[in-house]
Amino acid sequence: MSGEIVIQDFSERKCAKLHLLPCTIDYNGQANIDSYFEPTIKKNGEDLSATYRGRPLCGAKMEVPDNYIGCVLKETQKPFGEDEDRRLKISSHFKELTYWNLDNRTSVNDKLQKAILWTKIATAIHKSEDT
Amino acid sequence: MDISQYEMDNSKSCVLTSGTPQAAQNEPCCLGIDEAGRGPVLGAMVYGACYYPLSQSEKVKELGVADSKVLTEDMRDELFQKINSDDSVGWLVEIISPSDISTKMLARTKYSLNAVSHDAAINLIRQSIQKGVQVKEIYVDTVGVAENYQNKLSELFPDITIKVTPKADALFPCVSAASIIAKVTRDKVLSNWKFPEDESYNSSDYGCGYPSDPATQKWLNSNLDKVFGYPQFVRFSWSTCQKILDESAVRVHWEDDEEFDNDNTVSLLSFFTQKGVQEKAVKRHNFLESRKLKQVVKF
Repeated sequence: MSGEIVIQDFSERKCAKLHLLPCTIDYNGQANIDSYFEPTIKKNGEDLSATYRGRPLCGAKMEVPDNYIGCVLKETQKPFGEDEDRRLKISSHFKELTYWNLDNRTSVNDKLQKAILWTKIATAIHKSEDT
Repeated sequence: MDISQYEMDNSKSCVLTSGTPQAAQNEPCCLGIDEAGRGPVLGAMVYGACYYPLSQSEKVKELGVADSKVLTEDMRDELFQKINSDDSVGWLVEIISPSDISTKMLARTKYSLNAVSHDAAINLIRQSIQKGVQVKEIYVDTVGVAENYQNKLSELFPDITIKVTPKADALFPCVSAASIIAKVTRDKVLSNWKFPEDESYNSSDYGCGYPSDPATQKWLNSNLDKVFGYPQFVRFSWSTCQKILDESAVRVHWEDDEEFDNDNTVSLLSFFTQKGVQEKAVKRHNFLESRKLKQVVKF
């Protein structure tokens, strides 16, 4: 199935706060992050710690690389049939996110930190040689 | 008892102590250890230690200490005041936060409640010795098999006579005193609990925290958040809690769940299918594979 992403102007909107958890939650929608999760986050230097459902999480903040924008996409209406394109809208944007590991300290070897390296390589390999 | 040090951050375990009596540093002492709040699904577990010179044993017995379970709350408070104001008796308590209990028991490498308990007792003995208390005899109420526990402690503290036994809180005055100190602390921690999650919880009636208490059951049933479960006040590792989460909260799948392992098991049928018939997917470069990067052209 193919689809399109509708890009509308989101510069006026507030930045979203994002937490990437090391688990799959069978739920999609509003959650009481402000009351249940954020007040329990503890900071120790750069290292963050929290718990989810009683399990220990270690977290770190990560910034979206320069010249990139983080977007949260939302499908407001599901396609009626298999032939119809999916339409995703940008519901909010972010400049940083907090990702969490299950009971392991965060490090440069975490997949997400390593994956973001790609943006630097992409810039390098697509740069035109002006010299 | 002043528990403000713990209340500054009630997700973090901490040790509170009395002053160290001079007599306990000069004379051989006995030290008793007991726990309060091991069974409840709510709040902290408290380990208490009480020590005094062996020469004072009769005097302490005369204070009227007994197993904390047979005393009323008022009697315990009064006995604690007596213990606390006696200048030959010292005490320590370790408050193990409910969030520490949950995270230890639900860590990647599971840690049993018995191990948590043993560590707390060992920590209290070490801290007493560090304070200069001349510990010669230790009496502990058992957790798990008494013999194993006694051997474990004897190996760590070979110069001290150690006695681990069931019902130690009824047999030895120093353990009775420790049980009173632990219970008074546990009650205070439980009744003053400040919920960082939501202030409206502070005034809710959660009972004594035992799974059998109707007030505790009612609180658990009416305060479930389907995504987060409960505030950190609840011991998530308790089967009482797990059962409610399984039945009424949304499911959460973790990477170390057993079901994840099952997904990796190769189906027996796959050995019978002809190999090489299916078009082989192009293998991506290792740089991309290890970062889980994929090209998305359709979604």
